[in-house]
Amino acid sequence: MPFVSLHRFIACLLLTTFFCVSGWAQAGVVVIVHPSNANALSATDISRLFLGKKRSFPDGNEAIPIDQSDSSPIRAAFTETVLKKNEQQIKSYWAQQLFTGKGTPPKAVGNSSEVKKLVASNPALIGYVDSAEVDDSVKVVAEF
Amino acid sequence: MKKHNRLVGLGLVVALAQTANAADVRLNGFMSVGAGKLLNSGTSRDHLSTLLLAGVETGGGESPATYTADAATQGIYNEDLSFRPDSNYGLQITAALGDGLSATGQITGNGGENFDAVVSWAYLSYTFNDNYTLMVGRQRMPLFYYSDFIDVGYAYHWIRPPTTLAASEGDTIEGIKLRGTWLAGDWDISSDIYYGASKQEINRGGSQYTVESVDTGGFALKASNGTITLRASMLDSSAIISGNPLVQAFNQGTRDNPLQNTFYGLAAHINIANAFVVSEWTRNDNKENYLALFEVSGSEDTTGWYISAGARFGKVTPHITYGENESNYKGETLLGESQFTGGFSSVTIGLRWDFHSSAAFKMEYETRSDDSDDYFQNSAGGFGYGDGYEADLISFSFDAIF
Repeated sequence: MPFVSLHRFIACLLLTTFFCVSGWAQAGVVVIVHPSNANALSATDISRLFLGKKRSFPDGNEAIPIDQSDSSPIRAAFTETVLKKNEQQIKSYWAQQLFTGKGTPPKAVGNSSEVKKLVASNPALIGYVDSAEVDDSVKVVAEF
Repeated sequence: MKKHNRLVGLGLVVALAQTANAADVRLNGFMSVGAGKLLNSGTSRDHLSTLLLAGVETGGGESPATYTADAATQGIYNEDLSFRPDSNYGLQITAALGDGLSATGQITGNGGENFDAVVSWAYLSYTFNDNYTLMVGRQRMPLFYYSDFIDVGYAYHWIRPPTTLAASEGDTIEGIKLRGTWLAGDWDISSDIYYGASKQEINRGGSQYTVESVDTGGFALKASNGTITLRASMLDSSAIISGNPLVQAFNQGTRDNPLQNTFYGLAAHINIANAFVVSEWTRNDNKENYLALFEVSGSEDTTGWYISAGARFGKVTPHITYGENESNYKGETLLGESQFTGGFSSVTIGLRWDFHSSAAFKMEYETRSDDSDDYFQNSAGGFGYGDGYEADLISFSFDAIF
């Protein structure tokens, strides 16, 4: 009896993991910049920009990250995959930074199409969107 | 009148925030509503007693032990349920003025101080580049790991950081701080170096006096690679006391002979998957202890540490903490030498529940054992701490940020 339930448990766990992973894959988070931005960015670079640890692109130009608001479903996927923090950790992190003068969280907009519109119009901006949202107005620098 | 001015000030700041929207103004805040009571407490003896001079062996009055949740704001629990010691609020306004310059004001109020609004932070900040930021004005000092955001309960797992840590008298300065940040491989390195002065009114044991800290300088170094964070800090300060004739009679805490205070801290934080461990060691050295009225000269060094571990299961984070605190006191009194050790150890179990995306509910049980010399005798008479740290506290809080 204990064996059976352990097997079932593991099977359940694997299934859950599979669905989670495929769920994220379907969401397809991509990081976008203005088409004129020629910088190559690693996952670490992107994480540092969104955590306020870096304020410029590798070429030295100013970088301004654009976040998505709490209600956006893609936000949690980006925060956990790229920033390696859960909801509570990222909020604690920014509370700590904000109230000690070490940094302010990125401005947040409501959804992927708003992020795309902003990034398409300003070479300093960097944002993340649903892969379905991507078109010629922006350039993809990373895919998660 | 003072309070009235503060309110007018607050009104002005809010009005400014409304009119200056064009200049990129952020309004943020935090709030904690906490409550607790002692389930059990030992007996505290007043170790500073006028009876000493008369050679009477017992040291003054006896009273049930209390639990100081927030020494800086006199937040103290006793056997009655209180909503004050762990309750506070804060409002922060930051105006980004462009080209790396910003102005910030933070107003806080604590239950232990009747929720009176005080200005905890008021500074101008200038960011030179990716590496350097200069902050000028009133600011909290980065003493131990949680010092500069101790008001923001949402940002840590406990209701309050462990009280076993050694605390320095002041936590705020008016001065200058240079912040440097660098990337070294996978590590983020930061350094805060500061210098300044401060002045505060102390109300302790019925006596009221002013402590002016001068030549206050220190640093905090931090390195983090996402999994491990290491931190070291130090503070050195000189204090001048006014309003306490006894202290001044012995030429202590005067401009010629200021009291010396040194603080050291070491901390490590490890985060692996959903689990974390944080540990911290602190030491505070006071030379010429001015709090003991009968000493001609004295010193007190306090060492405090803790280790805490927890794990996040979705929105629920259970945690456990063990800590110890020890103060060694040496004094040369009018009637002879005295020396004693006070201290306590503490076990805390607690739970944090993130029931909302911007708020958490926490509950904790802490049991403290008193390790002090209970009673001692010397040529000056007899006195001791009793079991002043012996206390079992149950508490809960709601912490929110906005």
